[in-house]
Amino acid sequence: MAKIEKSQVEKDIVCLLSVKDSKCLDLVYKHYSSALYGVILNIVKSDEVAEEVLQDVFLKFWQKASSYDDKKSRLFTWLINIARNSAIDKIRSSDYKKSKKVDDISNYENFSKQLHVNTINEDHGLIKVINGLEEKYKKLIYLVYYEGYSQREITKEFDIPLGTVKTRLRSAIVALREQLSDEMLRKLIYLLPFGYLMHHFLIQ
Amino acid sequence: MNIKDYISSGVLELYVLDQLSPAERREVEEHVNQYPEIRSALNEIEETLFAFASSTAKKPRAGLQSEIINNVLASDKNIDSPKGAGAGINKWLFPLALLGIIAAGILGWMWNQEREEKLELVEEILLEKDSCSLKDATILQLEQMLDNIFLPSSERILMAAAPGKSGEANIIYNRENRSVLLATTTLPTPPTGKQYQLWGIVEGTPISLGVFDISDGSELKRMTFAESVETFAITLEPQGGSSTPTLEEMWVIGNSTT
Repeated sequence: MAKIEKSQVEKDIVCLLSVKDSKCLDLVYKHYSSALYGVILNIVKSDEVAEEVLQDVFLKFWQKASSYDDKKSRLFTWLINIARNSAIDKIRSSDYKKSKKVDDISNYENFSKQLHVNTINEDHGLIKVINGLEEKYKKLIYLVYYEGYSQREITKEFDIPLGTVKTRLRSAIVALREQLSDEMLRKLIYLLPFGYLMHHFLIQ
Repeated sequence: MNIKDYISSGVLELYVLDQLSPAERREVEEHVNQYPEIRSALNEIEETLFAFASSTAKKPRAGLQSEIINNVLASDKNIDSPKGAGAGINKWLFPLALLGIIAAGILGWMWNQEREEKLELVEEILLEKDSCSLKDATILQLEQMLDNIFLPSSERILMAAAPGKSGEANIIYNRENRSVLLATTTLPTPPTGKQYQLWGIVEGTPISLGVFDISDGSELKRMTFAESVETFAITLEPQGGSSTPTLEEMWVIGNSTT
């Protein structure tokens, strides 16, 4: 993950957003639409609906532009939360429920499968990272992230007390982060002249 | 507060996942602002979850970008104000400004009304003052004239009706302070275009002592003084008076006793 480059893009977008420059919409679309679309699609399961929700997200993003505070959260966190909430609102709306039967378990299985066959995503290392997570963590993140589960709903699903949900979620994200930094480290080492040697040395 | 415990409590993850109540969110934001360690922990969580979201990234179909951006910009134009946050304020700004203008207008009108009333009063007072000073002057004059009448040096000459005429008038003649006062008591009102004229006859020659109007029979008038008048007479002359008296139109006449 090119962390520094992303921050610069983010700074540019925040700057353009503060004056409501329409160039900002192009930048956001270019950098975040794929991630947002993926999140939305995972929730609504249909390209047609996902496109509709993506448009809602951009409308909300533009309308709420002045309420975004870069001291409170990163831009992508804010965007993804708008996307998740919009998509979850959509599937929980009565007219959507009538047309589709929502089955959490099969959805999750689809999600797992998708991680294996996702060829659109250029960052294959990342798929490895997600797959490297323990099943219970992967599912926890999935339910919170893609099904909009509240803490209370998770206690039912996992049959664990409310206090444990928080720490379990934390562990899941810590595990995800560790996997992620391992992957980043590996990438970095391959680039070095004595990469293989160093890799062996460090990983051992 | 133990920062490590706070970070490992899992509350930051819930914050990033938008699972906290507004009050809980504020608390997290306070801590994030206060402790750099918490901020960097939060940052790591955000990046991790973004990476997680990116793992399922999918490019939307090619034409969608321009469709969405055009729609967003079009919706922007539909809103009255170009700025999202400004809209809330501007919505109130216009009615408030209107209310302000109306209030200012009413106040201004009231102020103007009051000002006009004041001006009217001032004018009335000035008029009253004028008439007062005029009356004061008249009273002073009359007092002086009355004083004149009772002076021992004053001579009272009664002018009686001329043959075939009616009426009566009095002259207070004072040679010392050189004054001629006329009290017209019962002269008839002259026809339009005519005016009474007072004459003093000095050594057989009539000298005009001025013309006068009769508005009120008891009025006391100061006339022109002439030395050594033997006889006083009043004739009716054309408006403005004549250089020589019209004898047929003589109404009253009286001789000085000295």
